[in-house]
Amino acid sequence: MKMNNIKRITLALSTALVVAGTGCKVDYDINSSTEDLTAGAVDYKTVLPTAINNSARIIAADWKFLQSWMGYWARSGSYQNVADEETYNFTNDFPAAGGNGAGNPWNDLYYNSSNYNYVQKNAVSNGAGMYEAICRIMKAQNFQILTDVYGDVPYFEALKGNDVRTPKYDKGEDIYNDLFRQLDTAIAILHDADASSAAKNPDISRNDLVFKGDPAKWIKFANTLKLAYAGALL
Amino acid sequence: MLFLKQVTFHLDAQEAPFFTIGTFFPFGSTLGYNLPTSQYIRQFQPEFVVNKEIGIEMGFLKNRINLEATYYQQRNTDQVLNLSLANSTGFTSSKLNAADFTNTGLELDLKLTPLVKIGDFNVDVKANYTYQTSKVNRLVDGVSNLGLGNFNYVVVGEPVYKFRLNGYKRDSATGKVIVGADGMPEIDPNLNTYGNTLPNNIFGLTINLNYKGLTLTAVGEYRGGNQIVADQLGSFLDDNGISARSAQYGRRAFVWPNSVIFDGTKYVENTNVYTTLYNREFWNTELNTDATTNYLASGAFWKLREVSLTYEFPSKLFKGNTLKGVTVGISGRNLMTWLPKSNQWTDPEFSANGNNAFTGNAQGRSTAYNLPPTRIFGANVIFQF
Repeated sequence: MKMNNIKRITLALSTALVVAGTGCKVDYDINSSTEDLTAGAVDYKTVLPTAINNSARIIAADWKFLQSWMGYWARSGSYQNVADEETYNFTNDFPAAGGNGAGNPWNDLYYNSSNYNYVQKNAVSNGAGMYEAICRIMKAQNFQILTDVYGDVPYFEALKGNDVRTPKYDKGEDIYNDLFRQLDTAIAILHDADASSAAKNPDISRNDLVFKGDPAKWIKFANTLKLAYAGALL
Repeated sequence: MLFLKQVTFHLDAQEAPFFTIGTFFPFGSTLGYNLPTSQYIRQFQPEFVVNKEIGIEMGFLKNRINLEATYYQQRNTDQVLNLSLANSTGFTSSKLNAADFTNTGLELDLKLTPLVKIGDFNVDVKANYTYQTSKVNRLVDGVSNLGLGNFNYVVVGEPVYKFRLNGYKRDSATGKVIVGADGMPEIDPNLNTYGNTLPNNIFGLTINLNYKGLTLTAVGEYRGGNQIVADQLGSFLDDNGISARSAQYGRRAFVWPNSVIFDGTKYVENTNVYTTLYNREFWNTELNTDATTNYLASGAFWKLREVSLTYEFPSKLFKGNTLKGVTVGISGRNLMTWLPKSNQWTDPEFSANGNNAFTGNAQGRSTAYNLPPTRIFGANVIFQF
């Protein structure tokens, strides 16, 4: 072998070693996405308007099966678009999302509660009392609908993701009792002028699509819900 | 010299979920985001695959007979799966180190070259046989089965991907379908586990006949041991009344085959209670189409994948010419498919996998979006210079 070739090989080998050696020290940052909307990029406060909008949509659109049962809606002539509802055909996807132009209230309500839960958790750690109170009230309303429609539903162990994959079903009575507590807590926060101040709740007048961040109106709404619950318990 | 480094990926559930923009947002200057529907776990463990293989290769009679055999066992641990979560957890799915499973298989490869040799006449045969199976050893948190979409489930202790489907309510004593006073059955709301979605046995055969320049080659293949579900395709055809199924009772009322009826005290054989629904009212309703077991069929098939006939003109014709050789040939692909009687639907090789409407790892679900299998004929002439 010529001397030249040997030199070349040695050079190539040593380069390879240097590359391999330094390769271990490079810190590949492939875990933080630069394109996706991660929690770092999204302000928790901007989840509230979506959640409120979802609530409005769910209340307006998810109840087709009840509307058929209660006789509010009827079929038009021979057009039978509510066969599942009329025949009480409960399968695992009833009422199928999209199938009858309606959503699935169970899935939608739990998913939206997850939105409120997220905002509430972050609001607590940021001392944003208004956000926390609104989420408690709206979540209470969500679960009131859930337990009114379905009876016993997962509540205390719900919305914990992977931590509790099979949340147990709680008694409607226990859920109602806790909903009252949630509303009382929310009302107490809303009465606290400091916690519900504009300074501690940035952008609340914009993000609260219902009452524009008016604590007095939220208190009225919470009291109305309590009245409705009390009516249901009679 | 070799450098190894263990890499552990950290993905934090609470810190890096991917938000989506809410419907109708931005609303004026108000931004709106939805929480992600999928939750990521705090830390993924690396997936490992340990492959053990033992093989033997034998040649007899001056390599006229060649046999290769390989047995393998592949152990997969901490496989990452996209798990469906109960909606009451606030999420719909999560990626987790969810499954350990073992693949086991035997591969046999036999070559007989030539099998027969009489003068210039040669017959070569190549055959290969594969037996493959798998077993799910563990799923996350003692869960006994996981749905992956398209009726494909991972069930502990069973081969990977079983179907879990809705059938009709059956009498537990006899296993026969229970019909009511109207002669109609009821759909069992509980899912039951049915056959594998992946074939166990694959057998391939290539035969090559050669006489001087004339070559006839045929390639055949068998796959079996799996089942398919043609629920969407089948229900469309039933709806239109063009499936063989929907005409099997002459579109008249029928006694539900192998059914039992409650006579007040016990279930007795049903011989004379006819179905009250039998027209499109039955074939197009959930009572027929939601019972996906109606569309469960054997996934076995024999296929004549390719036959080709080629003739190579003898080279002595081209001595001293610029043209060095000419070959002419005709070939046909996918010429014949033999399906078992239970499969009246379609080619079992076409599955939801890779289809836009039904994506994912799922196997064995044929949909109405599948293109019909095609048969291809070809002819070729090759000039060599």
